[in-house]
Amino acid sequence: MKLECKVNGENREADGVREGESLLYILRERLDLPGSKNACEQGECGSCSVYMDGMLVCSCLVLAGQAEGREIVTVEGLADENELHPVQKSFIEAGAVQCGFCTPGLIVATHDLLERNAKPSDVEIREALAGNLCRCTGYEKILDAVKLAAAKNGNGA
Amino acid sequence: MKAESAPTRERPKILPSNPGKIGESRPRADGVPKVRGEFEYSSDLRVDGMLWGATLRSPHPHANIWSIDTAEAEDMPGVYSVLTHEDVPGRKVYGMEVPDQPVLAWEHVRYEGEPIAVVAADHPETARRALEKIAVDYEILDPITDPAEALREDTPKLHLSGNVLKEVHIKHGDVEATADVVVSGEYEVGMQDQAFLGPESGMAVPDGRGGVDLFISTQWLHIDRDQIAESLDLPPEDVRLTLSGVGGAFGGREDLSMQIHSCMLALDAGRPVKMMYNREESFYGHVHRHPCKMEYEHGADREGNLVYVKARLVFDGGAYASSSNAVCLNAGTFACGPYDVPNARIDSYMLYTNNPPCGAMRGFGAVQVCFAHETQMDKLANKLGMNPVELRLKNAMKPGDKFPFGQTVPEPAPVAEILERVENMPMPEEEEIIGRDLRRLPGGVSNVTRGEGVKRGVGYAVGYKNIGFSAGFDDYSTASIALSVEDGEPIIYVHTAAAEVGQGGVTLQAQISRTELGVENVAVLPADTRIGSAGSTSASRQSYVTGGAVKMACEAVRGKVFERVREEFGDEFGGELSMEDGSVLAGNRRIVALAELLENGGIEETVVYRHKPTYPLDENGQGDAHFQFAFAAHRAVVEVDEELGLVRVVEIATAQDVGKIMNPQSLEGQIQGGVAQGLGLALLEEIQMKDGKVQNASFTDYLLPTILDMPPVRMEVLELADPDSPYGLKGVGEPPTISSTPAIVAALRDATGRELNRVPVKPEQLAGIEGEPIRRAPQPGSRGPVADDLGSEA
Amino acid sequence: MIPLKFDYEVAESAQHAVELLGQHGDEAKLLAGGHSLLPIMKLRLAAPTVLIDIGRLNDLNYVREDGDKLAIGAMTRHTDVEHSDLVKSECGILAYTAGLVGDPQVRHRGTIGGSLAHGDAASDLPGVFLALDAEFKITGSGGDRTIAAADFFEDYLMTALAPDEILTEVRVPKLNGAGWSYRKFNRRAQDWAVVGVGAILERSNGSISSARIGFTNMASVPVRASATEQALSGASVDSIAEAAESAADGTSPSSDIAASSEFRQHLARVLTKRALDEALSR
Repeated sequence: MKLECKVNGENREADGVREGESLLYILRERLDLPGSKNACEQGECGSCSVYMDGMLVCSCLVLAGQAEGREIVTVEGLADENELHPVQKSFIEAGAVQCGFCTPGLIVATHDLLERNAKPSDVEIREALAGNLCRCTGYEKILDAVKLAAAKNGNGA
Repeated sequence: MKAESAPTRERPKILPSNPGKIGESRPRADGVPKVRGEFEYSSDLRVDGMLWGATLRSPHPHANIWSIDTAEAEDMPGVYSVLTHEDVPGRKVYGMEVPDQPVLAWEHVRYEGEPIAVVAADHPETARRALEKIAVDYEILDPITDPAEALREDTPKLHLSGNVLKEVHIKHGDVEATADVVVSGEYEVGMQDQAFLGPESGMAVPDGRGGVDLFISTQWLHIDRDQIAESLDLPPEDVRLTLSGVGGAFGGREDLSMQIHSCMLALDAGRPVKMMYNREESFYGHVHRHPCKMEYEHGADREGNLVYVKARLVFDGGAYASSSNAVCLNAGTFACGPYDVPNARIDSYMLYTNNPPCGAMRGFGAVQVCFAHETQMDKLANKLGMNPVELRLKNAMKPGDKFPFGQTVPEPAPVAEILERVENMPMPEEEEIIGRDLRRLPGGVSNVTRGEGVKRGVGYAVGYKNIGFSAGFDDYSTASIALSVEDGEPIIYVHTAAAEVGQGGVTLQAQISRTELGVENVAVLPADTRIGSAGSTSASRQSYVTGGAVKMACEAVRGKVFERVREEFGDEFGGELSMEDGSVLAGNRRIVALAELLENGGIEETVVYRHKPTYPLDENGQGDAHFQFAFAAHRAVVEVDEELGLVRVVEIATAQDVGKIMNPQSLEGQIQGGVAQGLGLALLEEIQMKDGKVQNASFTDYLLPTILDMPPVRMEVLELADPDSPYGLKGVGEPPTISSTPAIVAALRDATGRELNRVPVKPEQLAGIEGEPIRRAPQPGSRGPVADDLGSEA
Repeated sequence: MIPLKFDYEVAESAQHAVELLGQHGDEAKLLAGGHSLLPIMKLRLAAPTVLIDIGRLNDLNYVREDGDKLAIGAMTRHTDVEHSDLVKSECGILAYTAGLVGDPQVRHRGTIGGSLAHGDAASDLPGVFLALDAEFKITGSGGDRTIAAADFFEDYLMTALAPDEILTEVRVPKLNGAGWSYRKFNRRAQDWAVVGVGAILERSNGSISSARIGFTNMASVPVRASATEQALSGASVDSIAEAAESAADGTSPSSDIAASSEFRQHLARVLTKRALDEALSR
């Protein structure tokens, strides 16, 4: 089948897609956007989190056909050409990145959280990010990064 | 030696970073590509014309194989290669210490998930479907799943060498010693998984001349290369490995997974082949932490001075050897904990079974025994009516004492100091339970308690382990430093084969180089096998060993720089020469800028660094087996819902001696991350086995801690320099994982009064409800029975 | 991980979905959010040969007042139910429980109808709908019909939906001041319930006029705590603790890697008591 959708602001299409391919597979293997990661493929780890029509979703559990005509934003679409998004900067500055495999999903999930809640409390951050597993950091610096990003946003950065 | 052939894939451009000196927190060099989603993990690799590999695995934990028929799979459109054991060109087995594991099984399978055949096809799904067309005729055998059964004389032997893979016996002092106060217990640690987030993956590219390039996530490039070359029957220089982005490791990437398979397929098909496990396959594709049963007896006098420790440790090594020998040795040597124990008898056994092979995981043998010896210390304190910290302080080992394995405890060994530190740290504020935000109660938003049944507990534990490879292993690392001038600026290129698995080694190498040579621009080249081995990124060793190699190579370069300065400027400077801010200084006086000095050519030095030698244990388990020891203590504060058995860990406090803080931010990250894995083992994480089959090979049913499960970590870090190590540093990665687990369980005992002799602790245990789990198939995405083997539900 | 081969069809309307189901027979499955179905398809535990995507039926995404009831379209997502002011004010237990399904990513895709039609007694909503005495509106080739929640769940992953039927709407009574609580036991936040208990308590003159209690994951289908409900009917508020002791009577929950049957029964008793206490105070 053929798939058309808008990804990171561009109209994209993929031919020869198998019905069973997930949005994650299509992004990674057909649209050259490997930033979203495949860690569990069961919707448990959040590493493949992307926006679909403005909603944070696990792209591994979105079927090709379900993405038809939708607007997708991936981690690759958050930064300007030269300037990192404040969430991205904060993850680096706070030391929230180790192996980094969970990072793209967490960046998108944090971006989504701060869109909805500019000044989340610790427990709100924990609740919002509980669908994103990280095995390296013990999460404390991720919490720091989210708070740092919220502060940066608050300062108009 | 043959001339090295050209790489078959363009290397990513290396951007120099400005790393800061040691002791500074600087953003990691790979941070920007990682947050942009541009960092290239091994699962992200692709080249034109690439095929996808897939692996046929045994569904049975123990079986004879009578035949393998691949004809139908070979005929499928889109399938390029189907290989079995008959196609392994060289050695048909592999293994780091003991080559006992078939590259592809023949005649027997010894664990569920053992690879039997591999396929390469033009789409991953075609490859998977081809696997379904391979017919294997199995004769199913009863699996041997209990190590105690494997140990019995009359049990069938899984390997020609027998079922005992390794035994270590330590006899220290009077092994018949008796004491006035005796406590004993039996303890058990379940099978933990490393559960790195990036599943096994890699891409093999044939070079058209019989050799192969492999782009891979691994912990140790050279041991992979040597094993691959043996099995491909190629000279090592025809097998070139380059490290790709690694999505975590924690020990689980020390053994081979798809390395030989992908190279075989690529060479057979004549095309690049990528292999990538999914999460379920990953649970079968790497070794796990050894489950262990331990019987302990501690004797003490009435004042609480330890008189003796007797321990019998039985580890489940699973089907193949992996690094089990070293785990068995480690566990034996650390079985008594960081205490001055005058007499000891330790028997440590490692058994082959039909369970999944077990091997390296963070803490490596020290984790299991720490749970047992710390539980014993609490029991002893209870029997003596002593404060558990006081009992530990009384018996804490000091420099100059003898370890039970005969080695002298070296400076520094701050066991008492770290215990006192965690004891004296402020306790977390005790928030009123009634009316508290749900999210700060056990069970959180799931609203199981509004405070009903909730009790608080506090527990302590201390642990230790060796850093680096021990017992006579030739443990070394190689580093090359090139100092040159580009665009009028001096720049350092660092090259090692050390695997960056997320721990921050690349940043640290840059920091060391920056510190030693006073040059701001540092580029760390990709780790590969063009340079000599760096050893494994495991055993908390890379900062020490590869850090030492980088430092030594920098010193060699600096020597050459000074030589050149003396050649050009004489040697009357009125002060020591040094390098700072891109210049050579004498005292405070600038002699020459490096840009000028190196105008006509840079300087490159390659060195091999070794730490001081270690020695194997003798027949009584005595010897100078280890070269460095790292210590950490933990205090856990928990709240338990006694009726439901749910736990909220309120806080973990820890004190750890690291010798020298090289990068504060990454040190904190190691400690926090290590504690999280200790918490997982205490409360959540276990690969559940039934009749040799994994019951929970998914992230739905293998429970990793989430951000809601992890408490804040309060930490104090000591910098007591090791006189033998570079900068005095000590390895830091593993100690946080070792004693955090027993500290949490001690706190649970404090809260509930229950025994809790097994980890992970289940809610049933905490709530006092017995009940044996009955087998059910793993059902990610659904908690009800699906398949037909689910009679219990009906 | 890619599921076995299947054909993919998009339904333009509920009626169209019914037609497509009729064409493809019982090898076809409806695909709503896909968060129950796709994971098991990837694991080859389900292998429909045709998937009919009803996720684009936006006219089935609504929450409406309908007299003393709320009508909720089957394609309403968990997140919409969780955040609906109408649901929050008139049927708080439903909004609350929808907010406990999975993690945010799951709630953004998963739908009420998908969750019910999947018929998994381990998901949180079926037991709550049972406790609510909800009604399900079903459209099929023979027209529309309405079925009570108590008659909808037939067996493990089996519902009263015929192969050519689609669930279109759920109706729940407004709570009108009845107390409620949902308590969900899981070892780790945002996981599936090991056991969940939903309770709705109506009070009059200081005693309990009725208690309705639905269990998550205590059987192959969602079930009610009948013995406790009977014990509480017309009883004093002081009888909750004693009545909760019989919460697990007559149940035989499964034993699996998450919990033994015995532990599930224990959890059912403790959580029922706590849920009733909370419902009483709400």
